[in-house]
Formats: sequence, structure tokens, C-alpha cells
Amino acid sequence: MRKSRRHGVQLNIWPQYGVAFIFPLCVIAIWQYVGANRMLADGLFPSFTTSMAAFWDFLTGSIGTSPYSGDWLMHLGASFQRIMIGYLIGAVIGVTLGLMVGFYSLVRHSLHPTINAIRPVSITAWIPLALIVLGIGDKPAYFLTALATFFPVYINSMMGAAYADGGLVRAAEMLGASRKRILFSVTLPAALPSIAAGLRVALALAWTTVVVAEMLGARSGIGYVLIDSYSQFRLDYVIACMFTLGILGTISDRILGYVLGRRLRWVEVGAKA
Amino acid sequence: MPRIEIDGLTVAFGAGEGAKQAIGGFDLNIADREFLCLLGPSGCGKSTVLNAVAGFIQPREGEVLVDGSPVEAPGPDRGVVFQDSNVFPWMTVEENVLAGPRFRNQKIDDALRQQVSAIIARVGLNGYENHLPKELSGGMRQRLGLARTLLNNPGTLLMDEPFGALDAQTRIIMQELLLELWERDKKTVLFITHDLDEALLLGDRIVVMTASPGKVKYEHVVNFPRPRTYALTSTPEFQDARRMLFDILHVEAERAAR
Repeated sequence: MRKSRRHGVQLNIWPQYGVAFIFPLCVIAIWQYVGANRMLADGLFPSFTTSMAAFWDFLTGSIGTSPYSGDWLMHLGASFQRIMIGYLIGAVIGVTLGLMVGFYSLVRHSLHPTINAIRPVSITAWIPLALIVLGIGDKPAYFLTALATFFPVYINSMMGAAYADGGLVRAAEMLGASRKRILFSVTLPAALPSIAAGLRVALALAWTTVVVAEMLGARSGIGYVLIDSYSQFRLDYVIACMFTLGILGTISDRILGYVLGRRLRWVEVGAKA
Repeated sequence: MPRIEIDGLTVAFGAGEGAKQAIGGFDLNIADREFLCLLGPSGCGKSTVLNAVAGFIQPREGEVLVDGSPVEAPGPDRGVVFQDSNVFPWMTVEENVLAGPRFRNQKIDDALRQQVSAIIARVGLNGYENHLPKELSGGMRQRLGLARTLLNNPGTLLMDEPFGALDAQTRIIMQELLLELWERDKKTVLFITHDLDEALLLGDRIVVMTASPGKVKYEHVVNFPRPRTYALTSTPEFQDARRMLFDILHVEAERAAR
């Protein structure tokens, strides 16, 4: 049951960490060489240091050569608000519907075929409709992010509920639990590992979607700055935006992973007799 | 009146031509406070009988009566102890024991809390109240499953090979614990097993089933005096009874293996 600590592995930790730095350092070195010598895209492709300077300027406004100098926090806030609202709406509807569809066969038969038929339509295909119906601004971003979040959360919640351990359900029935009680006290917790996986996949999709939504239908946000910098040939700012998205995506995924991991401490990894 | 009456029980899975009969025309009565062991080769439908008494499955034909009324659904009056414990992995030991009252929206008062700690102590899990099932051994999980059922004070205990997945030493400890608990507070028990020694050690009566679809093949009344301990298994009387039942069971096991 208890994991044994193998000393050989611990001794090897430093060489392993060292290896992890070699690859990114090589990439940065090549990037810097190619950028500084204007070797790509007629010299438009910026070097690593130019891109980092643009990121710093975006953050602080210290250089002030871009219309977005020093506006990092404002645009990040706009994107963050859109992703939070859209993600929350999509996740809540996804978990609720997924659980109901997975648990009650009547709900499954009446809803699932329709939802499943809409699912293959890619999120980007919804953009024209969303812009025309909801206008330019926050609303299409909310809608598209919620939609992107909904499907993986819905599918994972449904599967988690439908394949919840039948033995646990029987145990609850034997203890006198009602159907509703079983849904909330047994099926929901039993489906939680699957729901958590859906929530994490959905968060990455939500970031992608909010950027696309801002590129096409907003006047603020990191996605908007990215596409507008592109049209001004400010590729250093494009990379600064990409850098921002990479960092924010990683941080939010780690936070979500940590929160879900705490809720799932009871899961026995890799064992079911 | 017997506590449990099983009358011409027929259970089939699937429908139409492809339906497979798990149990065909099975009859069995269990008296009040009797410890009955149902013994049979694997796949003979022993667990199907238990599941029908528990209310997990409905008979295709025949009926199952508990205290004279037909079984319609599972309920806390028929406590089940499962082979793979089925304790709730997200609940601590204490929460698992309290799951029954919680699920039935009972008020959790001090008297109930005292009962909970008494039952946890009786199955030897005191000190583990705040542990999660993943931190417990297989034997401890079975004790937890037993404690969770005992808190509801069921008239009938349905035990589905509860010690089948445990190692030999742990199984003996669990059998002695069950003997001690049962001899103190006799309940009606339907105990499913494929282990002859276990059936002879625990039961008042042993019913041997035929290979699939299961029927009653042989009945044996166990007359060893109580209280019993594991030492009983090495007496000549025990060995004689064991040999006799072994032959009967072996024939069915061979048929089942074919």
C-alpha cells in the first residue's frame, strides 16, 4: 500500500532538472540568432530580447512605442473576466445537464441525442452567428467560451454519472437512500474524477476560444491586442501576447488542478480490486 | 413462520432467445435468527439469490418474502455486506458508518454518535475514525462495511462472500470476529461462500447448490456447539463433515467447470 522511496531516484534528481533546462535554452538561442540577424519573414520576425522588451513595455509602458504600451493589466482583466464568466456558465450547465443525463434515463433519451448532434459543430463555426445575434463586445465571448466549456464538461459528467460504480449505488440503496439522495451523495462524488478531467480540458479550450472571440468580435482583451498588433506588423507585441496567454493558461490550469486535487484526495490511484 | 421464504425463484438476465437463466425454481426458507450458509460452485447463482433477497434484482418467476411480505426494493432492514466492501471512498471511516442515517435524513444526535463509536470499537476500527478507505487494508474495509450495516440494526444480514477476497490469516480473524458479534446479538444471516471450512465454522445450516442454473442440491445441519472458535476446524468431527460435504460440492464444481 505504502509507496516505498527509492534512493536511486532521489540521487538522480539534479541531473534530470539540468536536462530540463537544456532544451528551452537551445530554442531561445536559435530564436535570438534568427531574430537578431533578420533571417525570417524579411526581418519581421523579432528576436527573443526584442519580444521580451515588448512584453515589458506592454506591462509597464516603459518604451511607449505601441498603442498598447502599459495596458497589459487592463486587457488581461478584460480577457480574464470573459473567460471566468463564460467558463463558469458552461461548467455549471455542463455538470448539471451531464449528471442528469447520465443518471436519469428519461432525461438521457429526451436530451442527449440533440446535444450530441450539436457537439460536432466546431466552436469557430458559431462565431458569425454569435456576432450577429449578440453584437460586438463581451456577450459573444461569454457565449462562445461557455459553449466551448460546456461540451467536454457535459460529456465527462455524463460518462462519470452513467458509469458510477454500481456497487456503491447498491450500497446506498441498501442503506435506504432515495434516488435523489443517491444522485447527490453517491453518483456526484463518484463521477467527480471524471468531471475534474472534463473541467481541466475545458479550461484550455476556454482560453483558446476567448482569444478567437476577441480577435473577431471585441475591442479589448489579449486576443484583440494580438490581432491588432499583427495588422500593425508589431510581431514583437504578437509574441508578447502569446507569452501572456502561455503564462496565464499554465497558472490557471495549475490552480484548477490544485483545487480539484484537494477535492479528490480520497481517490486511490491505480487500484480497484 | 420463517424469516425469509424463497419460493420457486427464477432469475434470468437478458430477454427472449438469448436470455440466460441464473436461477431456476429455487426454494429456501431461513428461520428467524438462523445463520444459513449458501454454498456452491462459482457461477451457480448464489449471489443472485442474495441479490433477490436484498431487492437489487427482481425475480422473473416465483417470490421472495421477508417477514411475510414480498421484497420490493433494497432497504436498511436487510443489511448487505459486499465482497468488495463498497464503502464510500470519499468518506472517512466515521462518515461511512454514519452514511445510513445521513441518507435517510435522520437527525445525528449525541446518542447516535455514541452508537457509532461503540460500533467502530466493536469491529476494531477505533483510532481510524478519520481515515479514508484508501488508507485501510482489505480486512479493515470489510469491517467498515460490516459496521456501516450494523448501525442500522438490520433484522437480516446478507453477506455476499464478504471474506472471499481476503488473505487466509485475515479471513480467520474476520470469521472469529463475525462469530463473536453474531453469538452476542443473533440476527438472521444469509451467508454466501464457496469456502467449506467457512460455512461449517459459521453456519447453523448449510445449503449446497447445484451448478448453473442453481437449485438446492443438499442440506446439512451443523450441530457444533457454540460459542465456536477457529480451533473447531481441527477437530475430527469437523473434518468428517468437511470430507462428506467436499465430495458433494466437488461433483458440482466439476460440472460447473465443464
